Amino acid sequence: MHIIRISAVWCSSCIVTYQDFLKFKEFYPEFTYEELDYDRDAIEKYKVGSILPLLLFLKEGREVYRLEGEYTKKEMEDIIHEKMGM
Amino acid sequence: MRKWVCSFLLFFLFISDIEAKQKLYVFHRYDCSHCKEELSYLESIKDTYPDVEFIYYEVLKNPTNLKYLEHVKKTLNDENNYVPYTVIGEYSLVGFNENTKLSIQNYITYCIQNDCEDIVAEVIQKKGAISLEELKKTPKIESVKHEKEFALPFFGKVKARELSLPILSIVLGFIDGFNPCAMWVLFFLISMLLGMKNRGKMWILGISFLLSSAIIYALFLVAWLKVTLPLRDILLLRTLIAFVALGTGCFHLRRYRKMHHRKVGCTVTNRKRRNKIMNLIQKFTKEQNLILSLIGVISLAISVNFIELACSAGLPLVYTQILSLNDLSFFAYFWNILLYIIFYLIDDFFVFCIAMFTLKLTGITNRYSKYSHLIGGILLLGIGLLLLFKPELLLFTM
Repeated sequence: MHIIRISAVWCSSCIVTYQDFLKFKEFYPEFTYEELDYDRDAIEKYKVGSILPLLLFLKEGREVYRLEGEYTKKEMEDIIHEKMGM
Repeated sequence: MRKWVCSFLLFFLFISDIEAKQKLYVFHRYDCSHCKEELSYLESIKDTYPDVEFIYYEVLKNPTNLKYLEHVKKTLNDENNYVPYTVIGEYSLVGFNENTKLSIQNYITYCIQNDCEDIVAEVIQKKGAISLEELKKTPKIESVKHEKEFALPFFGKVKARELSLPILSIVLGFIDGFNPCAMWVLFFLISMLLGMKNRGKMWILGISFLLSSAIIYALFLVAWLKVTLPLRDILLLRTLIAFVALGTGCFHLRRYRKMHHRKVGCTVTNRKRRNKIMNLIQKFTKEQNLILSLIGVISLAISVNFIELACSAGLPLVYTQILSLNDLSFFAYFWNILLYIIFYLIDDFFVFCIAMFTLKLTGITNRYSKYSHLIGGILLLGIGLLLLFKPELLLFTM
């Protein structure tokens, strides 16, 4: 599983949820992670909507799920279990 | 011949009866709640005093009546500008409450017995103020303030009316400041400042940004106030602002509903404009010369607050309309606007100080910003309806 997080320096929701994202990374070291900046990196291909932060869950390079907005670590884990049966 | 004499006597009696009647004058505003209370009280005691004629002058819609009031106050050397303003003989009463009822009856009884000098009639006849020398007796003014009081820690006894406007300033200021239109600029600026090695410069630029934002927004409010003050008695303008309040209220409620059904996060808006501002911030914060950095940051604050004003135009306009409805002194206007600005900036100041002390950018969750739209929307709808149907309830000082 590859997880991409798209956020922005100026986005307070991104700042508020970053700690939870780091904890999630620690808890699931088996996944690979990528952090992109909305303003500086090439993010067009991910069709980012109007809400940040954005979490993309990819399996074999294909997007299987996306999480928009503020989510806690627990909410992320629930989605992993429910949507991806992991 | 006898018939002629009798009718002449009767006529003479009739004329003198009119002459003998004492007159009680009330200068009032149609939208003032205490005025309505007094007028209904006076109607209830009319039959008790057949020898008194009750004369009411509405001063908001009728400029001539307002002129009379000004001349009477000048004559009585009375500078307050409250209504209701009651005059009988050489006695005048400012305001109305339970205690005033007793005073009115005392003055009426006194004037019936002592045939008081009718100052208002003289002023109206002369179409101008009368000097104290021309008056036979020295006028007596009794001023009544509405005494609902609270005992607060530190502040001691505080009058409820005097609390309403400051509380409104705090609530509206906080809601106005809670809007995310320009919050992202502060976050980005702080993230750039945190990259600096020079902590002194960090503080100077950050504080300058916040202070200039405060000054700019205060100037906006004063400008709105300057516009609404002279026109406050114009019904059309008040109705217009009432609809602005209703429209802005609906806008806030729609924003709440949208945010309620949508994920909580940062809304990504105009990317081009944001990049432009971000480049400017990077340029100013990387500028070695402190003065140039300062000029850059201050001009940034000015432009950002223009955006913020457009984002929440309704709130400041409605707030200054309420301020202008209340006859306040210069200092009262100043304090209320200062309160508004303090709470307008309090969340920015909070974010900035934590970042400066922890050298880490702490975000504010957007989970609750939708509730500022909900509260703001309800408040604005309420104020809009009050402005339309019950403006007197927004008069905290009358």
